[in-house]
Amino acid sequence: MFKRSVVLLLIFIIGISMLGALFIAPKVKQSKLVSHDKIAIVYVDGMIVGGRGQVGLFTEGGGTDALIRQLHTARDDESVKAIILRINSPGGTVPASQEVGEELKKIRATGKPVITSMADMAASGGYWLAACTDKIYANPSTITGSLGVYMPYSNWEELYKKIGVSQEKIKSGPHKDILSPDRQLTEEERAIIQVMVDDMYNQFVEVIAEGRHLDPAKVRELADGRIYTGRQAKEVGLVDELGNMYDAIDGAANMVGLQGRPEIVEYGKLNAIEALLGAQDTHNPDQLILKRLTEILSSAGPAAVPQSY
Amino acid sequence: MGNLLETIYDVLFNPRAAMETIAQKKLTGQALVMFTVGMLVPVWAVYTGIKGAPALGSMFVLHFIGSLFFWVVGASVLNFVAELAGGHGTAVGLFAALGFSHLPRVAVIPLGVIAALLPDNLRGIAFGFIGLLVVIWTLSLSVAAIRGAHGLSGAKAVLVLLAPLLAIIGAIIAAVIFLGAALLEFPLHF
Repeated sequence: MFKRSVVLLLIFIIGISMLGALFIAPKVKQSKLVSHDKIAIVYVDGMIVGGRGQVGLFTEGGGTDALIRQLHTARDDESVKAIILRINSPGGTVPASQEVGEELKKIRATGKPVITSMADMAASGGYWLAACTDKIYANPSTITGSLGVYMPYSNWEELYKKIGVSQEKIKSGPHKDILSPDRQLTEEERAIIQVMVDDMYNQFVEVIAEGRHLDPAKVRELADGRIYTGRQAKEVGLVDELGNMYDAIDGAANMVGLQGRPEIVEYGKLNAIEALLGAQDTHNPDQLILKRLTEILSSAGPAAVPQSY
Repeated sequence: MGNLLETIYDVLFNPRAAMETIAQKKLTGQALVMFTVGMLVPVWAVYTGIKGAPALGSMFVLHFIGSLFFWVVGASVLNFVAELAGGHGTAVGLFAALGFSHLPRVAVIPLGVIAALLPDNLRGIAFGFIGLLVVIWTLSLSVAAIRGAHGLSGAKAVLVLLAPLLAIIGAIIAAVIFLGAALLEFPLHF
């Protein structure tokens, strides 16, 4: 009888608790379910190249497709109030930089600010992205600038002669093998390439002038290809503030009116599967450069492409 | 009903002897009732804790079936391991005893209500402590169930309980080593 009484008492307590939970729990659930305002950090590491980068069995990364997806995730997350673009890049291809830059502009148009934090280096294409953001933070010794466009071309004609390699091409047009490394560029071809480079340069200048609210003429003066330290860049108006990533986070929090220490959400971190399956290569600039080199030159001079370096 | 209440009392205050009796008498009916109550109460906690919890009925059914599956499979596996360790009980007896190891789940509601009344900064810690308490209590009842059902020592019962987990961890480590070795050099780029 005693045992039954004790257990019945416990059942009564549990019953009362279940009723009590109906009235007490709402107070808990409101504070639990309200998502905190966050600041997102999206990393841009290494070469900025278009496409999916390197695709593994379960992973994908290194290309701008993954970067843009991360930006979209941050854009669509209502709890994310601002995005920090943490750039550590020597640049990349113009189309890839442009593609990401345009997405950054679209995100800003939704009312979500994007702030750049430059790490060791944010040059060339890296600066293109930065110019598309609301505010730029750089360390005083960050290497930035390199504002310009170039198209690399190697002429291995003499080498091929020495080693007895000759290529024959059946072309659909006179310029189909333009930039081919087995022969000298013609003057006409050089002019074609120069026009292309100038056009891309003009687009770059427009992006900087628009993003930094600078006169295009002044941008052309600055954009002669030289590199700047973060401090020099601030003096000439290419950077807004000197500071590290945490200064950028504080700045972003102030910009959107977040009180206290902001909650951070990071995108683009390697997970265990990526690490296991070798996705670290996708963040290795050397591997990316080698891959690009192989892609560019494989049709023209497969014998001359280095397999490793 | 009277017998069930007395069994619950014994499980609460004298778990080892209670589990032995449950296993010997193969009280599977009572165990099923205990198991069902142990499922319902946490679902109530979820219902009251999350406003408009989506598909609560489906959630309960899935939770019930999943837990039932693990109860049955767990009892089979543990019975096998316990026999390897020198136990001399029956699978049905262990199954019934393990059913009563779901008892701590009903403590979630009263403890949760008390935790909900605490200040914000203590509430999270309190909920964590409750979770830990329920897990430890459940595990200790599982050990008592294995001891009671198979007459094993405490250390052996703990080893029997941990054996499936250790086997899984070992298998995962082996799989990671072999997969890592095989795939890191595999040409994954296409």
